[in-house]
Amino acid sequence: MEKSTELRDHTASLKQHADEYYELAKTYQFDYNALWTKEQQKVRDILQKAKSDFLAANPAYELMEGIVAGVPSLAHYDIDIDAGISAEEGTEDVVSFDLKLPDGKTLEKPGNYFYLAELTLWGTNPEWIIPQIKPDLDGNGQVDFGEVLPDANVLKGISDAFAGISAQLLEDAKKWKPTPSDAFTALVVMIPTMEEYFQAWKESRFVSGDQAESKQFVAVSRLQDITDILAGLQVVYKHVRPMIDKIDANQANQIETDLSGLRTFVSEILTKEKAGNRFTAEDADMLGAEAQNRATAIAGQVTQAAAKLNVKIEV
Amino acid sequence: MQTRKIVLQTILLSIVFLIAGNGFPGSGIAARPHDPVLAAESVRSSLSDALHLLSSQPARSKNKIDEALKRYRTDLAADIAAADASSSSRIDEGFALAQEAAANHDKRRLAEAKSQIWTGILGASYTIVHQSMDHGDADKAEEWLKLREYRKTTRFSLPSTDATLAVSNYKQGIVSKEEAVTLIDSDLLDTYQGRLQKAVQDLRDASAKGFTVRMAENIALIEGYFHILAPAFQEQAGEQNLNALNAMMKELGATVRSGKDPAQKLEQLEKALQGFRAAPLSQEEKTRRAGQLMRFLSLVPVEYGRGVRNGHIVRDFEIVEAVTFTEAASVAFTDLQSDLQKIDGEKSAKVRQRLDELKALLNRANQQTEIASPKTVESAVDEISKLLNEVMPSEWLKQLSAGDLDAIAAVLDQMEAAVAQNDYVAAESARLQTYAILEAGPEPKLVAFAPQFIPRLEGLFWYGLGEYKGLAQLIQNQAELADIRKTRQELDKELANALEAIGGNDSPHAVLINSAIIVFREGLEAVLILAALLAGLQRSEYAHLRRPLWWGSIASLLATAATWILARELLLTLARYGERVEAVVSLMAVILLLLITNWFFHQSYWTD
Repeated sequence: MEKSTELRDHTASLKQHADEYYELAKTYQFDYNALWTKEQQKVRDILQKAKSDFLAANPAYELMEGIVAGVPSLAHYDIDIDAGISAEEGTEDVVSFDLKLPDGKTLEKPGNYFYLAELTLWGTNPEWIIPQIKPDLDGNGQVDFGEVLPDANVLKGISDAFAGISAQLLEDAKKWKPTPSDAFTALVVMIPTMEEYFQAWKESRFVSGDQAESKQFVAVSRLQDITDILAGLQVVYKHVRPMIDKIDANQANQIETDLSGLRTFVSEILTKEKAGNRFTAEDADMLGAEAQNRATAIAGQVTQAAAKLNVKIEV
Repeated sequence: MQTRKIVLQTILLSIVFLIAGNGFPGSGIAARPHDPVLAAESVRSSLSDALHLLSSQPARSKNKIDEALKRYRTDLAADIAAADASSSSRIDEGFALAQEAAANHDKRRLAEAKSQIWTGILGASYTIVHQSMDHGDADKAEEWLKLREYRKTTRFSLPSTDATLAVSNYKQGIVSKEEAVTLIDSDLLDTYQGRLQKAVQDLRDASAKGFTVRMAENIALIEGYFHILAPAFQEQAGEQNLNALNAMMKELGATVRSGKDPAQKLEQLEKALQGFRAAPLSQEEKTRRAGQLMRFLSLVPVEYGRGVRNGHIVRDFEIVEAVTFTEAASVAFTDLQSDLQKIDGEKSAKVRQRLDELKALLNRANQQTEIASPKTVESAVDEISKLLNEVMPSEWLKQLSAGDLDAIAAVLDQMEAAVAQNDYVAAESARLQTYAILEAGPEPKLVAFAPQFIPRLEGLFWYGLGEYKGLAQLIQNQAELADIRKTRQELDKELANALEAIGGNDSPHAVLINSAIIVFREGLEAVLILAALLAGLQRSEYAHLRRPLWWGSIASLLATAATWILARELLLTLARYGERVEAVVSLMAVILLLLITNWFFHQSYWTD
């Protein structure tokens, strides 16, 4: 609930800043040259704040993603907020919404909200930014990667809808009454997704640099997301551990140790990455395989405990 | 030479420590292993750290290997050495290799050593579980059983719990020791075969990308998993084939270690393993897989036909479902392949080939690179079905309803997934499809043997049963997933009960007896009517009418046979209309009965 409230607040703040940016651009009839020439400081402030909102919303969501994505009644939010792909990219796990922009245009099933917001704010989709302007948003004297002027129309459309769905998730989260089956399902469904996350990390700028195939995960390393998700799952596990303790204290302890070990494993890689270590694609593959092996073992143990407790897991 | 020396040192040291009281000198750690799983995980984790530290911090990497070795010797070595000398020596060799690799800064060899040690521990754990069960020590078996691997959770499957529950049930006296051991074997061997297949796939991927460390890691995994599976392979394929496979494995290892492309050797290995199923299926499971295979296959053209119009994809989720069903059919076929190969190797290989072609064809459609016509897909499926009908044992084909519950569950899962994504059109499509499986599969048998379930199932599928709203109604009203799940859970229960009720009626004897009772009942009715009519013709003035009565009876028998043939052909032609045909036939029967009754009244009462 706490993280869901945080997500709602940060996305509401993102919406507020997107609105300010949109109104400012509108006063210049969306002439971005004039906007940047005359309102540099205001634009800098607004966009830096919008990016901060994104960076605050991201961990708030990732910390609860394990629950949202793992609980069948909430899982559709995960598709739309963080995990769904666009209709162009495939047919499985496509987001459920079409995005209507303020100028009346509609983006049909364009991908999840974090993806859309990141592509717009960090400019990895050139169609959603103003390419002729190269702004130095942080004022360090150079235009770094991710310093762009977003198309206000797109940014507002995305932010409005993102704030809306976040508020809706909070309402549904309030109504949700967790059951043991939900908790066990969340653990078994979410823990074994490590290889996919490491694959996303491998394809992102954090590993592949300028050769990155993915436009996403440029603002926050996917490793950060993984550690946040695992932290959320540790909270879930804390709640089911007493049940497992009753039937097999050793197993309960083992699951906790392994879960904590997996998080430490990923955190250490993240720390190295933050310290400037760069990993090769093969490193990423190997680390992903190791994480996957550990995750599969944990999910296996949780499944065994659920079977002994006669708790149904809904995959 | 250096490797041999280190191996000897390691073995000697292990023996010294074991004799010294199962402890590591000066470690102060309790000698008796308290938790083998935690110890094994710690060994694995230290070795993994060692591998990742080797390039940047070789000294720390070496320390990590020492940590792993110390933990192994302290908590695992004694039990492993006592139970499984072969695994124990593989592990010792692995540690020696790890130390040598660390000394030479050889990341590939260290990756190999890590996999060898880990699979050695897994193999030993499996042996200890087995031995503990043989000695009736279920507690020890339970403890060591946790030191195992699992198949990865997917959209369709969870890690198996068979072995865990088998030991637990054995402890409670619910199953015998033999039954428990069979379940343990089946679960663990199946898991390690799955892991072997994954390692083969990973080796191929790593080779394609030129990832040499990953290649080394995976070749040792392949060797390690096969070491666990070898006894099962020998039992099924014989010693000669095992030797041939071991030689093949050696060649593959040499190819990978020399840095050459292993694609060709991998292909040979996969070919040699084709049809091998480490954990043989029971007859019941084979029948169930056969049912799944035929049912899933039959759904492929249905889905594809709904998704494609005039060469364009109109409903992409239908194509995804067609792909999913093909994959599910392919998995079911893989499980049966070894049996089918023995019956007819040529046809079985052809089915495999056609299934692969179908998968490729559907994947191209899914990626919208080439969209085949529904007719093409239908022909491909028809050909596969024809081949399967020719090659599958008749007892599997007679009991195809065994796979229906799985097919229904798989499609109901898709329905729930669609609801979760607010895609109620897809959800309704999945619901209808499930209903079609029920109608085409178990329903005729339910009508005959357990009709009481039909209104209940129909209620849950359509417009409600008691406190449960019907799925059709719920989907139409775009209800919440929780409400839909509530009805689905009830439906699952009813389906399980219904199929259990007809489960015992799958045998030919049950069918024979039931059919005989129906025919005898109807025949008795006819005899009674004839007797009544003959009784009315006893008087001499009616004697001349007896012969025409017999002729009429014989003619009616012929008419019945003709009607049966005609009705059967007609009903088969109209089978796709399902319940609507039943309604029309019932209406016709009512009209016919009314006409006969009317005629009878006029003839018997009003005329006289």
